[in-house]
Amino acid sequence: MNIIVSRLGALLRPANIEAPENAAQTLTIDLGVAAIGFAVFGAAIAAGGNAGWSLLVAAKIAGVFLTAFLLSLPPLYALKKFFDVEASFAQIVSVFAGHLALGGIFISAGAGVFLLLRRGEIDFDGMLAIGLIAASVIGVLICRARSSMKWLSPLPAMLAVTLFLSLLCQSGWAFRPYMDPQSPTLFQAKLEWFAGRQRSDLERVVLFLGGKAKR
Amino acid sequence: MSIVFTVLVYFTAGGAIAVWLAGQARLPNGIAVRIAAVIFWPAYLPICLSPPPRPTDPALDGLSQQIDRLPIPETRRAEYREASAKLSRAVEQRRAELARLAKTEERLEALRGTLGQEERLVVDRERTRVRDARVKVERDLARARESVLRLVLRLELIDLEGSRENLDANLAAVEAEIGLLLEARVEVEEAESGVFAERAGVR
Repeated sequence: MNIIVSRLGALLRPANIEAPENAAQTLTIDLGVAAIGFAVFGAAIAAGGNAGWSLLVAAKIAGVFLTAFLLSLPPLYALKKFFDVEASFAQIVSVFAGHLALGGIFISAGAGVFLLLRRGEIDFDGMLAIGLIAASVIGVLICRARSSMKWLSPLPAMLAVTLFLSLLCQSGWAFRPYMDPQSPTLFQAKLEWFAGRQRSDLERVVLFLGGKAKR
Repeated sequence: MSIVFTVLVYFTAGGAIAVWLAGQARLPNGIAVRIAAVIFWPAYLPICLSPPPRPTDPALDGLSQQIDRLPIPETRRAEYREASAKLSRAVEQRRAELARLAKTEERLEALRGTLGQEERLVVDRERTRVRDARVKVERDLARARESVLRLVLRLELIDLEGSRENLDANLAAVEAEIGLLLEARVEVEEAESGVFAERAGVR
């Protein structure tokens, strides 16, 4: 327990995100903290369902972020080799997991904010949840910017962040839905808009651009 | 169905990798770590396969920092870094040698208790040699650290604005000192290999 508490302390000191000594054990703690943090947020944003639904959403939200983390590793290795980064890949993975854990801590703090501000409207609650996730990501990036140790130079760091966010969106889509079992998700609602009467308008535009519109 | 198959393959690979890492003693003990390694094996694999961090010497770390601060071309800085890395490896080798000599002395001490009077004299002679070698290595390490600290102080005190015209002279002197340190390491190694060859010949 002391190790976990001291690791939480190390994560929350913004200038102290460095590669730890016992890397495998620290990785386990970081992934555990991240999973619990994201699961807490997932349980908070679940609405209209029973405890089982809340647990399912909690597991899905944690799964989204952890899957994005795992999927980011091979292209991150390619980035390291392409930009000839000095730090070893083990150190980069270790620090990446530390950032994920920090994001989990921030997002679990956002769970309380969500419960205070939510209105029970699917669109508003969806935007609020996405806004809190974005705020957590920005918080991690700010803490990262204040760290004395820079594992990646600016361009590969920016590419790595873009890569992770893209994979996060992809994982989010793969693990949908998670807002309300009775109502469609925000994305599904927009998809239905697209598949409805607006689709014929869009088809006309696409055909016009392709030069096949009937005049 | 294909998702189930993919997940099955993923966890099978994770289990095999976790078992292999545990067999190589590269995975820490603990059920939580083992389970996490099966689930998140793409993250655990590079971390468990990386070499353990070597203990760093503050004096040599200070030398590396000073070399990074010097306003010199990158090629020259790379040469200094290479020399500093060689020094660091030499110091580590001497420390490993010191540990080996300490274990040898312990084994000789343990052996002494089981021998008769005449054999004890032979063991005592060997213990004296090992002890002398340990003192020599400790003295060399202390001298090397002292030289490195002097070098670090000298680099720290180089006034970059005031004596820029003397920078080259100072750097030439720094190069000479690093060269001397490296030559001393080579001499000690040669002397030591001579002692060990002599000991092997006696046996």
